[in-house]
Amino acid sequence: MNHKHGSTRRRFLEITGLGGLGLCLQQTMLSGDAFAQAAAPNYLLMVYFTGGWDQLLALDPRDQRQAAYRFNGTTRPTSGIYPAYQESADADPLVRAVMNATVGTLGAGSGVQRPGTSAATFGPAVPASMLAHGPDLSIIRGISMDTLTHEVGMRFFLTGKFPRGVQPSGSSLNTVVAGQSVGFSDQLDLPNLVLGPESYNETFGAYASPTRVNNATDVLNVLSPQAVTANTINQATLEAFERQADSCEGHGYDVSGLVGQFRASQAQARRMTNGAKANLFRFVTQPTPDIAQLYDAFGIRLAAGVYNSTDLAGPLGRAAIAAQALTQGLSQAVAMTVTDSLDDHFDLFGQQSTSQRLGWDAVGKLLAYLKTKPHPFQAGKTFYDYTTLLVFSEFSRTPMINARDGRDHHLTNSCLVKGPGILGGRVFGASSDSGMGAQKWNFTTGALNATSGKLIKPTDVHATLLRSMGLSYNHITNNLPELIRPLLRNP
Amino acid sequence: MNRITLSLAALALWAGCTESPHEQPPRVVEEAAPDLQLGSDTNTLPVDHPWVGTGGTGGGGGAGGSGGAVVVQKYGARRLSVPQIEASVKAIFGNDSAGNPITWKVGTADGFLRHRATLGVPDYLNIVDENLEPSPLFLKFMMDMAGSVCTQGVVADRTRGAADKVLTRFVQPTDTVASAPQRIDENLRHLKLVFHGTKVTPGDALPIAQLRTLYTSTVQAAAGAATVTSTHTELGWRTVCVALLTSPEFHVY
Repeated sequence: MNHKHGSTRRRFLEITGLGGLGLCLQQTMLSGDAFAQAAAPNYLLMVYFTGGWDQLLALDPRDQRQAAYRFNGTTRPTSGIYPAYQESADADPLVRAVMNATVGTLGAGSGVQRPGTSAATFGPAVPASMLAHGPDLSIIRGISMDTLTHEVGMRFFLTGKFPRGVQPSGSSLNTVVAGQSVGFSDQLDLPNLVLGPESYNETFGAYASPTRVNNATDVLNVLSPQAVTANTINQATLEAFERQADSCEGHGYDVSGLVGQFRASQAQARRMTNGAKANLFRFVTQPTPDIAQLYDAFGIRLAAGVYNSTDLAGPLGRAAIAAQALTQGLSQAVAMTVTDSLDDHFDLFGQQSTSQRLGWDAVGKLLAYLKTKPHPFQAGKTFYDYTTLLVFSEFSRTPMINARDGRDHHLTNSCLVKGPGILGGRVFGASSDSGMGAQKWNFTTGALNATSGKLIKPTDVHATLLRSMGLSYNHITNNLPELIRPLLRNP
Repeated sequence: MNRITLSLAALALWAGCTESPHEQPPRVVEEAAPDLQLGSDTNTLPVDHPWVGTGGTGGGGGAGGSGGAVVVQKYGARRLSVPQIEASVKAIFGNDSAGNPITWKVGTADGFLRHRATLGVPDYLNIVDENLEPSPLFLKFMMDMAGSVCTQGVVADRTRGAADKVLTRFVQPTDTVASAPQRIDENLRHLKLVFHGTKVTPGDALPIAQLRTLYTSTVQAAAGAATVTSTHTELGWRTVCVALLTSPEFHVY
């Protein structure tokens, strides 16, 4: 009897062996990426440089001293790549300073900056405030965008899925992160805050829907209780009615789930009203001491006791909003734009480097601020340690200057990543040395492989970042993503 | 292995093969619908097409599951755009006593204008498509809007002639469900028609039953043990107005 019904070592091994197989299948063959949620919540910062950036000035620079990148008299550079750093330096003294620098660069006149011993190099438009985080930053170069249309490239990089025509396909990365973090994000007032760029929620509940605002006043309005409510009795009665409301029309309209989504959003809208936290976004020119301290951390200019309104409305102000949202426990994911359009088909010299620098400076200061704020659940850690970063643009600009002293749209792109699950100071991929074309890579070894390698797509970047955060990328598996394993801390 | 062992092992294997807990159920709700003769196993959607119908297949292993017929039930519902909402509000509420159109006010500013960009109205420079998702942000502002215009509507009705009243056309200032049930119901039917475009026949109590309850409970909560006054009933009509303006039946078509 005992032998027949009791536990034996052999039977235990049989059961656990098959069970273990099942669990292995769950994590590998079946879902491929269904990691358990990390114990500590991950934060996401997604930064969009609008208009298509000149990556020679930032993430994919070339050494201006090399003959292949210079004009020989009137003969074009043999590489088909012209960094034009000298022309930018003539219009922008800060580019000139990088060109003259011997420390922290590949040499005077190169225009290429290298923070410490990092393999990642940066162009002359990236300021010291950003380079200070160099050891943690990695660059993905030679990304094939497959489009030269602004909306399509932007939506491709936002969702990791190539758009349907020009319409976005799937949810944006910030929504995916908030959507998969049930138990954390759904407890926050504004789990998915968006400062500027488009953002989409195709499959997740209302709690993950982007709250898309333009400035601090918008955030203040969103968080403020209704301006015109009669009294609390009235409000409670109304909410009770909403919970019970059911009508034939409602059922008729709900064929695509729209009414259900409407009701869920209504409940979320009531939850995100938080008068106390609204005051954190009272970004006026003469603020409270706490907010003044925040302004100072971001270098927002102060004159005669009044903070500069232009700075507050610009990249620094936006970065300060993001900082408040993340570190004051309002948001898990923040997506933001930090530049005016970089679409410089004309007169690029000076204005492209200036615009980019303002954006990079804001991101650099935001990261520095996150380093100063302790993580809410992890002793000895800061928000910075648990924040994953993606900085991107919809595509890049042509490697040669056009007849109007500008650059046009170019397919090959690059992006910047950082995070607790991402190895820093690395570069994956490269644009070709002739015309900055996309090339094929071995995603496991990181080696160039023109025959059996694969082009890098935004899809791969999304999958890699989600994997690094311990989240699923199942929603993009039909776009055939491949993990960029050389950048993963746990490949 | 005996049967118990096999059962436990199968259970353990099944546990490992279940879907990821993050997966969201499909939002589409199937309803009985005319056969549009699209239901055939040979109809396969493009690789990343959203799932359609219970047995449908979103191609390529998307959210659609596998196999079965693609059944298209109805045309899709849509949310009103912000300009459509603004025009509807002005058409419903008319002018205030000063002759200005009743619209969403944030302080003295026009709320529709002030929050235009935040609500995603295209400027055809930076934004060319209006996002018609009923997002929490949209709903937050619509609740603010409803509070504003309904308060103005109640105030405007005080000085209007009986035939021009919007929120209180068929009732007297102190009418309650207990004292004037027929007038209350007639007014609710009128409001249902004006706000939702739904004509409710006098014998059909169901479509207005929840509104009647809302009106009654608001008036009772406001008056407490005191005699009901026009202040209390105005609060009731204002609450009914907000409920109608913030319901999906107003915003979806």
